Amino acid sequence: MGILDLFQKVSESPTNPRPAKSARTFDVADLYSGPLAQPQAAAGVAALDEKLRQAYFWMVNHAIISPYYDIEYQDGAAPSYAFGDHKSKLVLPSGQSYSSFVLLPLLTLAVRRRCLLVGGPGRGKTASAMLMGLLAGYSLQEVKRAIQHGQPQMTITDLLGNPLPADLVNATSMDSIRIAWRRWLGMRVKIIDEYNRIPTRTQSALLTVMSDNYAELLDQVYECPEAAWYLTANDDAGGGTYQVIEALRDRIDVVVKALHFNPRFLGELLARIEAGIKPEEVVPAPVIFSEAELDAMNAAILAVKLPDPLRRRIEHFASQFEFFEFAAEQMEYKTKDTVKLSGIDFHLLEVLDTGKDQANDLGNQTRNGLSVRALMTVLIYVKAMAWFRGDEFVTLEDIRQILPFVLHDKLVPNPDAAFFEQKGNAAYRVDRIGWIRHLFDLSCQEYERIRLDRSDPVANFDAELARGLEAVPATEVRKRMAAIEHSLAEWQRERKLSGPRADDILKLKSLHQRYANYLRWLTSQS
Amino acid sequence: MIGPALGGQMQAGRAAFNQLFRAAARSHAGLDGAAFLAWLESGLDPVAEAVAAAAPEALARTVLELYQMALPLVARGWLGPSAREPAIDAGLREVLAALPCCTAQAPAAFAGAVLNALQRLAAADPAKARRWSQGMGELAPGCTDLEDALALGRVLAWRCGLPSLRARALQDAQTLPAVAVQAVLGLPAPLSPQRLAELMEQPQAMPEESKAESAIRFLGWAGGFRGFGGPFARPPRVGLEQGVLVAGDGDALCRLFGDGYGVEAVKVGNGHPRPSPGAASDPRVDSSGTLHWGGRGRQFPQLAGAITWQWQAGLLAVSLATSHRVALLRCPP
Repeated sequence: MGILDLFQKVSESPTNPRPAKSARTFDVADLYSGPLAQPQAAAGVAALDEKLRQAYFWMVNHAIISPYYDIEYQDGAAPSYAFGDHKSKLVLPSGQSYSSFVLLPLLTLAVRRRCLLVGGPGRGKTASAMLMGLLAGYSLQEVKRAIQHGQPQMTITDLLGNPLPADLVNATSMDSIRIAWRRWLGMRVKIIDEYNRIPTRTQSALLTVMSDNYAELLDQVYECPEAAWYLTANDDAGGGTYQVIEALRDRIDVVVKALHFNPRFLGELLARIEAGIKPEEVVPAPVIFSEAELDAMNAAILAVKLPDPLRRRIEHFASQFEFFEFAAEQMEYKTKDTVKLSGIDFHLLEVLDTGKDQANDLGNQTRNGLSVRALMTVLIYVKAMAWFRGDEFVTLEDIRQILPFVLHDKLVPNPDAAFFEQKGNAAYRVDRIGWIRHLFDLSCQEYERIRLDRSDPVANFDAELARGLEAVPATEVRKRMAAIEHSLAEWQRERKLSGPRADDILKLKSLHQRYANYLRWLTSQS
Repeated sequence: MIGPALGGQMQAGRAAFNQLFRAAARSHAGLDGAAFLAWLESGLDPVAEAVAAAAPEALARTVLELYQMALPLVARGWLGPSAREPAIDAGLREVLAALPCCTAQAPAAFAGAVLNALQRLAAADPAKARRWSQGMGELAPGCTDLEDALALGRVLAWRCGLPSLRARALQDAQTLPAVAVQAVLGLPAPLSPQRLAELMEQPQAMPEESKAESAIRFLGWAGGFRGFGGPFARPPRVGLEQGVLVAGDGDALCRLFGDGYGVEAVKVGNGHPRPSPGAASDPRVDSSGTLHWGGRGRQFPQLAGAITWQWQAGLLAVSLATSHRVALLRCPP
């Protein structure tokens, strides 16, 4: 049992027991490890995932009173139930499952990205963000002082800092004006409370800090350290005092909803009030991370492997959305982005797209595609999820569970899509988490139906080129180009052009171009 | 009555300390306020005074971390006036107060390490834990570096009767000041690098011996009945597992250690040891307790009823049909 129990005990290891990966090396010569205490000094990088899980369980068991286990993992048969006339489904997960409201902020701490906590007042958004600051090793006083409270009068100097008055008077150039930068800029956890109450101009200054990691004031620049960001909003759908600028929204990596308080936990709330306990004042020392540990966690997460077959599934899913056949003549410009930039109503062009099965075409359900930033975030968070569960490889379920939170604000639904009119799909208009998870499931079904795991000519062409062109003779190059042309000719026979097929076509065009250039060079050499 | 160092800290952080206690009391039903106050006075106060004198800047952190650490331990009866093993409670206080610089460097980590060491020593024999904490108190005050203190602790634990630490302790001895190692091992002169290398190569050679001793010597009994705190439910058998001496009863499999400082059976897994027939020249024991080796026989009455024996690198293990313990003898090659 760990020695450093505080408020409530930290869960004992292993928090997610797995079969041993290899024979455990037993060190009989270790005098200082034992049942009474686990000295922190002995904890290496390998133990950090365990430490993060302990932090998670401490929050779930003791800091958050009514947790919801909405990130479900199955480990064998899971009983399910349907309630009421509309058959509301409940699954009792057979694997270790998680509360997104706790897990996603923790993963954000580990990967140093940006998390938006949304939900009605009093649901623990700010408290949760503060706990992240405490887990990162800051004192409660430091965290409280560092919170930036959004309000309509917030100025850029309120946010970033003030020029020193003496310098303002005496300075002969802008360079000589020193700035008293706000302390929060230098912290590894940054909390912006009610960010949608910040005036637009100040939002722009915040954008620079969030996206480029530096602050600028009167020609002076402050370089910020890598940090995890927590933003809160009572209503992220435009109900704040100011409209949030799109670029700022786009910088948010995950969106987590603070769900309602289940009154069945009132007894726990009462006990906490009576005992006068505030979780933020009693964070257990064993779950507090040092700066070095935060860095090491991030490095360990990046080292988690994403198997190629799963990467292909993400590619297939991402390919569904950007393609828009009637947006342009040239294949490269047949995108929703072209429509958006033109300013034409999306719906006007959409009605032209009559050939496809509107209800089942996934691309038809969104008004945009996925940006590179969104895909990068997906890759990082799925790795973080796998690492958190103690895995060396990402699993399909990790992707399925994480995608909705990353794409929550990234994938804009098309409310006019026939899909939403279908029986049983009305809830997807408002439930983005469920909708995106459903989209991924449909994409995977399609991926399996066309057996891309078994036969993927584009992947084969890609692998062929990845082996390098050095010493590849002209005859071989011509053979490969002919194979590409043959595939394109085959695909011509397909009656419907889908997003994934369009990306395949453009990929083959790019490979063909690489071979053509190489062939030209070979010819010039001879 | 507590001193000014701890008193000042308690006064300054009264609300926070009270809150920590209340929070811990919710999850540890056995946490008694009077017992915890008694531990603050007897266990934390001398440590706080020592740290206040040696590293006043670390006093607040030390008090907070040790306070937090002790809450569940007092609740579970490891520390405090009704500690289940007084040698651990007293040993912790003694070591932390004797090494205030090390305590101040990493209070919870150092205290945790010391607690584990005391628990392991006390599990073998409470007297070993007392000797160790006393030795640490006497020998290490000059030591201000945490890692050095832990290394000295390992060497001392070996001497106090944990031969499983021998290899690690000898490694530590190579990097520690020779005078400190000499004092910890109670030697008349420092160990030379050559002698240290010999000790590492000859697992039965002891630091105080000037040359390799060839006499057979009974070292002691390792293991024991599970009902009395030992590892075995049935009389074990001995053998080799991956080249090391082990004893097992089908459930617990223990690695056997023994040298001039003591004997130990450390659980490493489950199962029976695999029968490992030795060479004809290896020592053997008959059922009357006679040890035959090199054409000579020597009677050991305590080995009467021997059922299995195994010799490896100068150490002979013998199990009996009627005992849950394993006899270990030094039989240098």
